[in-house]
Amino acid sequence: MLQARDPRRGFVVAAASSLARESGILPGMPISEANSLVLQGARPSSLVILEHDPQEEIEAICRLADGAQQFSPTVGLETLDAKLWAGRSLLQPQSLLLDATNLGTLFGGEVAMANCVARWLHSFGYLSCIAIADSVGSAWALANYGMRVQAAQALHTQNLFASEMRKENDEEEENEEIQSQEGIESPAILLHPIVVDRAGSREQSKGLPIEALRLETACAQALRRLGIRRLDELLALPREGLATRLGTKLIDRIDQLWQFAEEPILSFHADPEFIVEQSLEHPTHRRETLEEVVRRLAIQLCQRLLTRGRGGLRVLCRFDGVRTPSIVLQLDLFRATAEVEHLTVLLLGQFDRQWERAIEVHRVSLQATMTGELLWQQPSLFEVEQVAHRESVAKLIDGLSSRLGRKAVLAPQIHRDPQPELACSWRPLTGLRSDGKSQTTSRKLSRSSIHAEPQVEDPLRRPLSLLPSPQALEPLSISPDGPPQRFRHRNKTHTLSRYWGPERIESGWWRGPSQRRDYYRIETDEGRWLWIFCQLQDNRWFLHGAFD
Amino acid sequence: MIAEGIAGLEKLTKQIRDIELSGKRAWVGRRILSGCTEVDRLLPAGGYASGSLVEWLFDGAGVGAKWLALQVAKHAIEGGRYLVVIDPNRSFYPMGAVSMGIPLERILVLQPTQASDVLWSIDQSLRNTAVGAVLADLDRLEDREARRLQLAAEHGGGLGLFMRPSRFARGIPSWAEVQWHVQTRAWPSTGQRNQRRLDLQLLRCRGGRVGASISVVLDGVSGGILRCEHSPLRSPNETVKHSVNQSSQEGLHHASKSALCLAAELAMPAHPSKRSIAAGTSIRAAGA
Repeated sequence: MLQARDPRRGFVVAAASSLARESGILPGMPISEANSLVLQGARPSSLVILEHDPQEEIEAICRLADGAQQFSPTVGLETLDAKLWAGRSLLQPQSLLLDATNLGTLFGGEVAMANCVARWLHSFGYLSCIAIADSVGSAWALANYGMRVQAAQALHTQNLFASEMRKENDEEEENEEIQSQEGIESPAILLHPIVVDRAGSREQSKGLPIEALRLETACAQALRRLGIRRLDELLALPREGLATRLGTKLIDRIDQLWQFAEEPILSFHADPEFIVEQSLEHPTHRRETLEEVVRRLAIQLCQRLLTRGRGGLRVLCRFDGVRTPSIVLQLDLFRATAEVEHLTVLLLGQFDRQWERAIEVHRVSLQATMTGELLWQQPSLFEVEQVAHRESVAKLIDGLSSRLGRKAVLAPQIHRDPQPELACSWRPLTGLRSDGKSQTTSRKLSRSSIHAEPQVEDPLRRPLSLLPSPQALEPLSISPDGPPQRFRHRNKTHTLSRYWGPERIESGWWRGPSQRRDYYRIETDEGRWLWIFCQLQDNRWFLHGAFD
Repeated sequence: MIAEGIAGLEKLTKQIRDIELSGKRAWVGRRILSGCTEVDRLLPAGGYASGSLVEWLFDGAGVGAKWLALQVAKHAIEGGRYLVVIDPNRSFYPMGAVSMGIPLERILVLQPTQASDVLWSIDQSLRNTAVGAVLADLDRLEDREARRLQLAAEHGGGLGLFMRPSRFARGIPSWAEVQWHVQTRAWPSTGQRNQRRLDLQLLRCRGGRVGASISVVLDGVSGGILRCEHSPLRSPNETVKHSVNQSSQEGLHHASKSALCLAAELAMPAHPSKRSIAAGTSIRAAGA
């Protein structure tokens, strides 16, 4: 199960495995509800909750969009509305759209094309629901809601197979792994795609739920209150009345699904012209030669980018070997850049670290797969220095992210949450916007990331160091009210000198098992200031931070 | 008569400072305040020189060294500069820093997972002109590495603010411009006033009042400085003698080795010895 932070509802289920779904857990459900469902179930220990990483997800779907260009020249992500669609738990694109007009003949028919795409997605381990229809709205509805029963059955079969395999493994432990790899493979899950013409599309859409129209949650709820749950029930209502009562957006959506109204697919893939390559007459593994080739390619790429007023945000450098697999270096940049020196230094830095084996390279290519507009803004008179610093620090972030990794270069975010460990989170500074588009430097750096600010008048109420997880204390002398007079932590005994508190902190009931803690700021006899708390459920004491 | 005497004393003081600062690069950078006027008075030119390293030595968690460093950082990032926090232990809690008046959008936190990346991250951050201060926990630091960081700070013009456990840094040659020792004392049992006391001793500062001690009393809630109390001046020798105890025997041994290494480097800076390169990987950040 993946959990995501909802600004208003706390933690909610972002995604759930088919096993979790079988026990009633659904995306969008509060974590507390999911927890209680699991506790009632047969195997509570089998629940694994992981943090949902929206950035990872958007990058994964963008990679797929890049790869799907082999099937169609126009590939895009679904275009989201400002508000969440009914039936969705995350405001993120989750579907790929391919323009399949006149392309079926190349694959031997549209069904064959859909099967081809399904097999390609299956090779990455994805279960895909694919529909080909005459409009985006219709194909979206059939792929998202027309194949649910089929997908659930397939997943159920796979779960049964997996559990049987586990049983067999328990019974026969000897060499079972090798056998399972060689002989028995899990059944390939390839769902039958839906390929329909206009009449077929209308026929199949009738029984779909109203969520298949990509409606905002409020609109869908209003319809459900009226007792309308399926599309055919909705279509039976007078069109004029719908527009006045529920907005014109609903009418647009009906037109897109039922009347096959045109809807553009915003093409996602990078501009193909931002690729430069050099084939080597004689394959070589000499580092110096390859470095020089990369340097020259960087000059060419930057010239091309500059003529278009663009800068690279993601640059791929590919070394094709003669008989060995290619090596691809990927550079994620914090701001769009077309500076030769900057790109070269970063690429060669990666080259140093990832060049593990010597391969005979016969071709080197450099591609800016993601680009952004280069911004030359005239700063105001009083902001000249700040803008210069912003530009300079953007370069630093690029360099640091390139070596340390995206997840190691972070900006802090503060949330209005009483639980100290949840009141702060970290945001990687390089990456994509939630719609898969690049983000400009000025937006990222000038954007204030403060959602909630702690009170400025009491800095010493919160420590400067917070332990990643609270560490248990061993009380040696208990006080009836207040923290223990003496306690042991990491083989050292501390004696209490003074204390301030308690500050009671309780986590929201909607977030699962509630946390009830009494926090104390204490001063030990050595003058150290520590932040400890008593867990009220079991009266255990923990060290949580230090006023370093 | 008295006025003449005071003028004479001031002249003499200036002459001593000039001698101490001779051979050192000219004061060209900014002056960065410490956040406490009494502390600034102990430093030459009334503050920290930009492009230098400052170390706070402490023993154990919860002593208050980071609080002092962040006070300096607050002044160092004025003018749109950034604060870079090197946090391999993932223990930095920005809430306190923001309450002290450091803008959240100008804090960058680096969480390197490899020990070798820690020093590199500090070096790169210090070299950047947009970085006003780099805050890091460091324990062992070889001379060559410290010199590298000092040069990086000079290049970028920011401040390197390092928190270092005493057992690794006290009595050992350092490239830091200023070195403090931070201690705390429990408040006397009489009275439960919500105040915090930090005792600072100036261990190293060229042109400053080395050996001087000062006690800073903070309000326990607002963190504001209520008052500063000067302690009698102690000589640096006394300071070192005071620090020698059984647990620091190893430190002294290390000091002698470091001095040798330093001398070797000064003699032949262009030829790094194999030992120094191997030692370069031993750096790691101290836990809270």
